[in-house]
Amino acid sequence: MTKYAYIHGEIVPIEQASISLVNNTFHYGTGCFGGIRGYWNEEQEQLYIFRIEDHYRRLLNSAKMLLCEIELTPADLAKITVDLVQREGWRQNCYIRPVVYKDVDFYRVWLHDGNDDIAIVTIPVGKYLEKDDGAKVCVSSWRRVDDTAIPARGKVNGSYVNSALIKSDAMLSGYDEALTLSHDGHVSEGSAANFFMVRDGVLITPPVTDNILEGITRRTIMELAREELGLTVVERPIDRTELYIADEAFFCGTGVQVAAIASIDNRKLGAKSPGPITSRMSETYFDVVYGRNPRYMHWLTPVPQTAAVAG
Amino acid sequence: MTKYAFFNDAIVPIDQAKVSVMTHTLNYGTGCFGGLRAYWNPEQEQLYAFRFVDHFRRFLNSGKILLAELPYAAEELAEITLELLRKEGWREDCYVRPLLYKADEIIGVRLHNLRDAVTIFSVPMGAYLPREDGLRVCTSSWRRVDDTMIPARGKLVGSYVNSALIKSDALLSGYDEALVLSQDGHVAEASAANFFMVRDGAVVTPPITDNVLEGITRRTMMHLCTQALGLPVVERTIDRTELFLADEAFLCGTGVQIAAIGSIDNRTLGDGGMGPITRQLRTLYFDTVRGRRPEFAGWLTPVYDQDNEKLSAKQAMAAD
Repeated sequence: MTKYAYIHGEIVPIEQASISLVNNTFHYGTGCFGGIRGYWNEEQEQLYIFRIEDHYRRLLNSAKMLLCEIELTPADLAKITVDLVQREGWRQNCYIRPVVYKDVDFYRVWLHDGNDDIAIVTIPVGKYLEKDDGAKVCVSSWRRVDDTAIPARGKVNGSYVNSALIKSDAMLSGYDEALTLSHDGHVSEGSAANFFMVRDGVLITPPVTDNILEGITRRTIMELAREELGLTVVERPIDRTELYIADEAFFCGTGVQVAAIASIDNRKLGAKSPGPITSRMSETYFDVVYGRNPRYMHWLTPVPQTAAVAG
Repeated sequence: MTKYAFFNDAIVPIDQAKVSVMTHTLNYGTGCFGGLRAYWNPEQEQLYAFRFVDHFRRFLNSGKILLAELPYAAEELAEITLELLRKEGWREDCYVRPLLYKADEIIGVRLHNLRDAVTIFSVPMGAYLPREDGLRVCTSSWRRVDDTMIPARGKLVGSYVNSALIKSDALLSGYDEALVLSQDGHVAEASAANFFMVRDGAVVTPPITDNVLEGITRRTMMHLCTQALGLPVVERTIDRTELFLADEAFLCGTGVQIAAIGSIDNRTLGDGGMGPITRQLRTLYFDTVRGRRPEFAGWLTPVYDQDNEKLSAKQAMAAD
């Protein structure tokens, strides 16, 4: 269980990491968050945090959209996070959740002068179990929040009520996940994960102008697809009915990692799920995040063992 | 200062009412809230709760959109709030904030199979806006969240980041408020208040299908216009440039109450202060909420009338 949190500039016992009921972000969704993973390599007895500074760079960009002022740099936040994870002493995979929030009361429905603070918590997550049959997906009857209303580009707290509406409706209709269309009818992403499809051997994903998260995992997949699998990767708008004739498709994100899609609106994709490219993509991704591919060690931050654990 | 909150199904000292930073709704905006007011009448030494049951009905409807289920009816939440106000003992205007939230810690980004909780607290509050006439308003470059994305119909936590983006951009550009258009370019409302304009003696407001809050104050204003002032009220789609041609315009809501717009995008409306219809309506509104208009007393529940409080609440419901 989680024992510590970072809040108000220091690491404290988790029970002290609370906010008042009158907190602005609690009432108005006026914050932003990140999702970062730490992977435990059993052979090396080493925990690696994946692309930590890239995640914090995006978090600070999300904060910028919300007129938040955080004095810390991505490097500062990475150091704090490593300290926090080290204190917890996780010897298993973990998920790291930083959240930037407005430490002011609920009166003001605005963003500036927000007395912005950042809290960070880490939680252990189980070992990833690969689902060999892939997800059953539908196209949501909801539309993605638009960049002109609440940007999906960063992880803005409030926008996730859109994700939650999409996810619950899909699950309660018997699906595992949903794909969401933009206001103009083009495919954006899953309820809270980026989307890729394969057509004629080409890997295709919606551009960052189609109301999607600018995902770190999305960028990782694009780079690995080109460099490690030699695939052509194209960012372009995707029409709804193209989904049905894709050879393969998958979601990606820090949370879902690489998750194969078996069917969309009850139309099966490809001959088998996961398809060959999705499988190779997934294997390549896990080799990188667990520190088994020497070419990508620059994306990993090893967490030093504490004296007690190491000794 | 606020001393109490309704939290975990009991009235407790507010400093004991805290939630973890990992709370679902803090992270994902998956909650909804209400905004209610009670008005102090100094002559009668009475605090009047305004349309509490109606507010809690909308509150529970917002919850329904979020697949939330609370073990309380609107009438029960109103009773709890009256008890909370009596315990605080306010002898001034105050504002009540109920918040429905998903109390689990961060797990799935979803709405179902999560624990729904409600908290209520109150604060003393007079005017919300620094000025209530001659507001300098602009049209926002943002668009209102759409009903197909996050409904503006109820007070959903997450949708208010849209309001906050709109409000901050307006304030930082030197305006007091902003009007926001729907995706299709029609006028929706202000950052967090309903919009009315007067054209040729008719009071016009966008329909509830144009991404507006289904405001209790909006309904109150419409009722007062038709029933007490004999003015025609029209709910219809409003174009952006119609704003410039309005004779008068005002914002309304529980927080802002009623505030006159002096200019929109630097085009002055009327004399730039408060128009005659707005002024008349404003006087009527404040007389109504402070219990000086017996014909609208059905909307009010006296907070401190110990002997008759239950009865009055029942009468208010029956009159609605």
